[in-house]
Amino acid sequence: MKKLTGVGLGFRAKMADELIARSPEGIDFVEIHPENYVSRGGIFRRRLHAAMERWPVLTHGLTCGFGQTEPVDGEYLTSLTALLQEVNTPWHSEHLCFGGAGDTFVHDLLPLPPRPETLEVAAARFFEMQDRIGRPLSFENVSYYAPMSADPLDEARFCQSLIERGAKIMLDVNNVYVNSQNFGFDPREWINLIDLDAVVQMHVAGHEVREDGLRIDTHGEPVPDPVFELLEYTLRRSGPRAVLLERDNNIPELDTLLAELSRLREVYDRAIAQPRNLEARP
Amino acid sequence: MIPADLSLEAYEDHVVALCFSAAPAETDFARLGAPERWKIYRRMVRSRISKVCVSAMPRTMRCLPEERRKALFSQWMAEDPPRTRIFRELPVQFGAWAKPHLLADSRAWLSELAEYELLSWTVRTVDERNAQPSEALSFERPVVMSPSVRLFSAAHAVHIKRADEAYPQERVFACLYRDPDTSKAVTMSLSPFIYDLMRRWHIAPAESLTESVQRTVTARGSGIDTKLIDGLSGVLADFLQRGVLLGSLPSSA
Repeated sequence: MKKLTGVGLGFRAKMADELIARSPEGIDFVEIHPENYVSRGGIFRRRLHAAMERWPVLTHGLTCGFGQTEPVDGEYLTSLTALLQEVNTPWHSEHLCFGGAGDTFVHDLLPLPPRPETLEVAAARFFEMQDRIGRPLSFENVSYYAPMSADPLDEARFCQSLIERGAKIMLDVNNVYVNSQNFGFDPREWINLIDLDAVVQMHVAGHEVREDGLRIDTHGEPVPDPVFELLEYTLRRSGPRAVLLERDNNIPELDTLLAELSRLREVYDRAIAQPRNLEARP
Repeated sequence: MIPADLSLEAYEDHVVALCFSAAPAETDFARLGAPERWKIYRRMVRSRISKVCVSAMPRTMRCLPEERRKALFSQWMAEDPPRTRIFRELPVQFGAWAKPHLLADSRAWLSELAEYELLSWTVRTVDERNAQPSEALSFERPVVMSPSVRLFSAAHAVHIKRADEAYPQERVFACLYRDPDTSKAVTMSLSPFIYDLMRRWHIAPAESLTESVQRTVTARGSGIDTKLIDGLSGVLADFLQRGVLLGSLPSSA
């Protein structure tokens, strides 16, 4: 199968009907959160099937954080696997985070301390889940607001350690940028620590800047220029990948979203038109 | 910074407790360093979870003063924090926990309103692929209902929206189902007999339609007459047209 590349859009209920009705050009794929479709019928499933007729559908989970210490939830993985098969996603991604403890769910993506113990848990969970879903899996680096390590670049080293175990990464460029602003590091340095051959997909999104300067990854604002610049920097090094525009909150009119997608396309085309920058990682 | 002597499991337990405890101590936040940042996490988590419950039960929530609502959410998260990974299921878990609190309210209709709103919320998303196979409706076979059908009975007319949020005392028998075309939840008022008959379909799904009618009539102490047969025929035809009934279980099932 040809590797999926190009630009895509998060498929969200608020704009799904209009997106399907208009089926605009310039969308190479859409992405869904499987939790919103597992064991769900009615209009949600009808929309999903309409999307599948028009675009490749990628899946991006919210509740199977690789840092969770409990055994994986076999019952949920069975339902998830069936959905992934139904939409025939070329790969599935989850977050390098934890989302609860025991049988309690916080419905948020909570950060992990980048330590050897965490790496062992995350690697074991990653490969167990990949085996169980029976298709390629990747992990997303998350944004975080409380310091996890004395050196914030330890997060990149932690991600790279997981990559060196054989995992693939769903690189969220916005999260790298948000973290760089909140914890004071050069986001390009973060990118340079990652083996970009392991990147299967990227995310870009907007975020909120609070009055105190803290940036919160809301997915509720347009993508800011520095995130586009970091994406271009990354794409020049990685070569073509599937890049998703995420918008989950404060969703604007579809035309506004499509204009932003066009801008993403320009950045993407410009980046991949140049010879790939193969500078070795330090 | 996260203390080095805190295991990953202990760290995760600690963060979850920070999010859901009714009133964590300052020292609990400080233990992980950057206490103000952990308070942001606590606010985000609690806000997101509360919001989905308000979305599912807007009329019920409007009837609760803000302080009472916040106190209920806080008590819920502390006593019975979210146990489901599926976000849309959170309001149902909250509703089950909150039921005794709402029943204790002086407004006798409040818990019925909450139950009604949660049924409407659930009906919209039920997976129709769980439907049993069906063939043309036959009195000799058990009926097959849409998986979205839910029965509702109340002592107040909470299914009719009122601007003053004061629901009159009135015996209500109804079913909710998802309209196959619009996917919206529809409430259909029922006669007490049809309500009892549909309950029978739920509790004795292997009975033929004829048996379920006979047992319902017997239980109600009435008899089968032409008027009942004519009325029932009309209701069954309406149910089939609306998608409430899908038909009968095939004889091979």
